[in-house]
Amino acid sequence: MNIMRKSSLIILTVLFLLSLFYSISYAERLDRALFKKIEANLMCTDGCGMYLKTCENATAQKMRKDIIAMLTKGMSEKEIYGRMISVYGEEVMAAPPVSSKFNIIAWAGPFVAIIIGFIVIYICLDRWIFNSRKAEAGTNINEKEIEQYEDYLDEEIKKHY
Amino acid sequence: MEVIGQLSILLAFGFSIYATLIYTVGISRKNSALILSGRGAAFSVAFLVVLSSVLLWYGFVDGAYNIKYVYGYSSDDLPLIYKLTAFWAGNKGSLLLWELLLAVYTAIIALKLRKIYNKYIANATVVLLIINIFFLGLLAFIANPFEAYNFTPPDGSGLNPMLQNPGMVFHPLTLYLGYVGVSVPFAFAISALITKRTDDWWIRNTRKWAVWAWVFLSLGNILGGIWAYVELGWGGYWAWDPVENSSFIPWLILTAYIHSVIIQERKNMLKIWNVSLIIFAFLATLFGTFLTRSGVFASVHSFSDSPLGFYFLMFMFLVLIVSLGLMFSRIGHLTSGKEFESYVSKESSFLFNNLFLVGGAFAVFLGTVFPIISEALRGVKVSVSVPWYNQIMAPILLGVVLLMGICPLIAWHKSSKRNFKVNFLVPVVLSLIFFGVIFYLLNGENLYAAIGFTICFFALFTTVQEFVKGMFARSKITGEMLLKSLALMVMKNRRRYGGYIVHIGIILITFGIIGSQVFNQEMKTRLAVGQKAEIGGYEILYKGLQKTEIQNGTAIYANLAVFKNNKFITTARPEKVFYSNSERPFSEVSIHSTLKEDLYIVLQNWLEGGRAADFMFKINPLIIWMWIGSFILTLGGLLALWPGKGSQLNPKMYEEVSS
Repeated sequence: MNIMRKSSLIILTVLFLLSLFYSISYAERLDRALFKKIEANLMCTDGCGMYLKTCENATAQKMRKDIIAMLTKGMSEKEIYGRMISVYGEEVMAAPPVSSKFNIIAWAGPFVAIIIGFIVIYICLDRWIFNSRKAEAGTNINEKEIEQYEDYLDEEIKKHY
Repeated sequence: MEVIGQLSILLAFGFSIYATLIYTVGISRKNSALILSGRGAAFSVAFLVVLSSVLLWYGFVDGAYNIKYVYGYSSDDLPLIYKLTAFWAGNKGSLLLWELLLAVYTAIIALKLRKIYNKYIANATVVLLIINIFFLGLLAFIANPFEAYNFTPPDGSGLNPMLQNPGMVFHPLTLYLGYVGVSVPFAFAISALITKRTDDWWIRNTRKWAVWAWVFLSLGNILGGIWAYVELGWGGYWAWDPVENSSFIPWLILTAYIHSVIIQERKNMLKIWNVSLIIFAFLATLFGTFLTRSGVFASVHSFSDSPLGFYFLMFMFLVLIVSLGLMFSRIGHLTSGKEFESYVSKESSFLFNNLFLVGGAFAVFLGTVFPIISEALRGVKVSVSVPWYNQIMAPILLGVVLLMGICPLIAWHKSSKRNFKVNFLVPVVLSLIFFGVIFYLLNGENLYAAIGFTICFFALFTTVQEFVKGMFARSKITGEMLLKSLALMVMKNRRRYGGYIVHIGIILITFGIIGSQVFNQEMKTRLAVGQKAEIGGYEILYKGLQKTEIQNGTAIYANLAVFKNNKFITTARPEKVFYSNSERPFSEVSIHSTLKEDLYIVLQNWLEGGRAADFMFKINPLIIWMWIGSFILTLGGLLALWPGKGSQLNPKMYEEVSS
């Protein structure tokens, strides 16, 4: 009976230590990956203009410690960003936070501009092609002949350009 | 010496005003004698600016510390090469460098004027002279590089250690050659508007200047990236810093311009677009200079705050108003001539190429100024840094590369269905196979990278195909050996094949960017003596610290033995350098490069005399391909620049053969 009790106690102790080890290892790995992601999405706040991942000054070191502390407390990525914004302002984020409607301009603006450019190009091409076809209205060359001439013309152009 | 230097600048300012006035009168009166007088004045400006520059260089070499600028950027223990490059280390000297190049360029253009009256070149020279007046005015009255103390300090305060790098010898010089080079096609465009001669004469006369500017802007950007990579110690080469952006924006616009002028030369179209592009390219160079001198943004590349920013801003507005006003007043003369035949043609692919390039320029500009806009409109400051640029610019620039691949497959005028099928089938099929293979090799992850690599493959294939097809076609016609046919084909069509070589360079750079951005690994760790770290298949053994003296400081470096697969590879020696003129140490990184990857090592700190040290280890895959691509790009640009027969748009290659 005494031997069984001792054996059980030893087994329980080992199991506890193993669970503690794996939980620490798992948390450490998870934290490190998340830490790197958060670090890459923040700016150093001392005015150097560098983002946190690449800055090694004292301010950056302090910020990293703060992030690690928050991760240790179990805060989520979103919560950490929110905390950093509340302390340092939106400037701390390396990209404009989409939580602000105004910042959406930064994200959508370039692609909207390109889409508008596509539309303008299409309209211009449409007009130019219309004018071109209008000028060709008097010709009597049929489609097959046109294709043959185009192929021939393409070959000639390739020879000289 | 400082008196002579200052007087030279003042005289140059006066001569530039005189030249501008006398040219203007000569043009209005059609008087060649007056124009020749202005030409002489332009040469005088160049001579005086060269003289002042030589004097400043001499001041650095001679240690003339009574000159404030020399005192601020030099010291007795500074190596000679950096005494020479200290010329452009600060605000005033870099302004003088800009003016030096501008004055020389202006003299070269003025040299074209001879006894025959030519109002087109004369007007272009006037525009350049007006730009000279602006810069010389700043040098004479606002930012005098020869400002002196009334005593002579025994030594200078020294040069920023980050500028003591070979990259700082070439990066600013090449960048400024490019920046200032944009002034020339801009001047000719304005001349075209003034004289109402809006055909392609100004494009033909300035194409090489545009390519020259483009080549050096490219080099400037590349060398800046290399400098950042080896000097700043963070393992990257481009941080989308506002000042970095300011040199990328004109590059994008100028790239669009170089492509779109081909349409004007061939079809006399896109005149308004081309004039707009060169105007905005020139404004972008001024914007870049404004950024570095205004203090609006914090940047490792900026000069300290100065009032110059205000003057540059005013000059930019003036240029914008006058240029666009002139353009709109000539809108009738800029109406297109011929028309497009098809939606699917090489011409239309150029339009979409321009769309992506200018769209990219707009995106970078928006990212750069958005913090200011937000602060002005909302009272809230935001940052726009790497994560934003990576997400916004990646698809845009990949679109550019994709078009590089498509363009050679599209016919001029109209691409028929048969043409489309024949030309696209093989490249598309092979690219799909490549995608499957690469995606499998990436274990089904990083879809974006797989797409990027596939686009690079597609573009590279179609570009190389052009060389191969042309080589075989010529060989078949002429009976020459293949290699001879290839060489002669390229040399007789330097503009075309120079462009294709540039494309290959861009593709390789893109390949390197994708690899280094997506697959990089990083580790920050502390190692005790005798301890190893492992990263990316490398084992790195820390063996201890050592100290050595250098010309102007002390370097402490770590000895690291690097192994791979249990084989010794190299000894890495990352350093911390303590310069005599600086309170804090500067990192000198250790980089081991292969075709596959770079092993990048930074010594960050140490304890107990080096018994333990902190390191950053980074693996940057494929990064050497960026430098290889950069070299190829430069060769292609130089080939396109090479003068003589073969640099035209449509050289008659077979005249010799047929005769």
